[in-house]
Amino acid sequence: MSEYTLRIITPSKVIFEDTVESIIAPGGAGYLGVLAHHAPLATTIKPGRLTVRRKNEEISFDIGEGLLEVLHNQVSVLVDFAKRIE
Amino acid sequence: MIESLKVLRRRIRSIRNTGQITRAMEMVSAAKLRRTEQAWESAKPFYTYLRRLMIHLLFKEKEHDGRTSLQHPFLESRNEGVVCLVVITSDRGLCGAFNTNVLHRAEDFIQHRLGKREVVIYCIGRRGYNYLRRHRVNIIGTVLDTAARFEPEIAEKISAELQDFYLRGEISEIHLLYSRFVSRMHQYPYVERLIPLSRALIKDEEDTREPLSPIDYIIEPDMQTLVNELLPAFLRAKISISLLEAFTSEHSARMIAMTNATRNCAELLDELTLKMNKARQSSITRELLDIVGGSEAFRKAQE
Repeated sequence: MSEYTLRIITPSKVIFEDTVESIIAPGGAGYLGVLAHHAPLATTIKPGRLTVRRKNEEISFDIGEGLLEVLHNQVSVLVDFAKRIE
Repeated sequence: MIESLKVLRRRIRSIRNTGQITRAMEMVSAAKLRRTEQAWESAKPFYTYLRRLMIHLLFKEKEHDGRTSLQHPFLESRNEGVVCLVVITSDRGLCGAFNTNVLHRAEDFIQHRLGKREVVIYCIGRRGYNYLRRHRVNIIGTVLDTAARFEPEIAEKISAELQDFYLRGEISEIHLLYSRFVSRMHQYPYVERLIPLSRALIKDEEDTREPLSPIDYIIEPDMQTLVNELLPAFLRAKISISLLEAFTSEHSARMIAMTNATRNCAELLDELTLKMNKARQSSITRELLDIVGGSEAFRKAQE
């Protein structure tokens, strides 16, 4: 499965930066999934759970409000807070 | 001469103490500088990405009909009304010309608009407050005693207050004056217009490398909601990043000032030690002469 770069960034630091296969994020118009080579997209983010899937694992983050941008096969999630759920 | 030897000794002792204090302060500033610089570095990506997103969105909008069709108070330019200058200074001194440079710039700013538009000040830092309150400008808000330690709540408070003032129509423009950090040796005061948001602010010299072709985004849930979210977030991020930069400048200005003070102490100490040794030597010589002269006279008297 092809991959792309995901960055989860909060005002104080970069929480996550790596290649992933897909994510499911709580967008302003409902949950949305992003696979590689997605068209450019900009959306608001509601507080909720962001699920990240990569090779053999699934990681989840609790995230706050913010924005998400898909551009040139890179996804930037800009949120006021993010915490990885172990 | 004996007296002056005593005076010299006392001066040497006091200068040595001063030197120890400035040296300690230098090390404290160095530690604070390192911490602030790190916080600044790790806060940069958020601001950079947010700004990039805004450039892309505004440019996309611009392509449609030549003007941005986005509606948001932060984008309206109002050519009259009160101009607000946000000034970032330090709470404490002993940091060289750091505050003086910023406050001179503030005076220029006020002078420049004198008679045309009213200028009010939003002041961060006690130094700036103590200086500017003696001027005939209104101070509409203050943030004091941050001790140049960045907390997200500070930026939160500042941007919320400024936004309130702006949306109530009490101010119609917001400019930010802070000390830009070039290197540990060089910082300079800089004024930027925050609101109305200008392309100049959003678009920095760094962006010339990036292609600025319009991007056809899929927008969710809709443009207005997105912009309503984006612009206040950008204001907050901009204030945060500028505070961090100003605090970094402050700590390095103080560190350099203290390094210089420590060096001056060492030089002065060398000079005074030399003087003291000379004075001591001459007093010894004089005493010896007295003794020799005295015993000579005594022997002559006995003969």
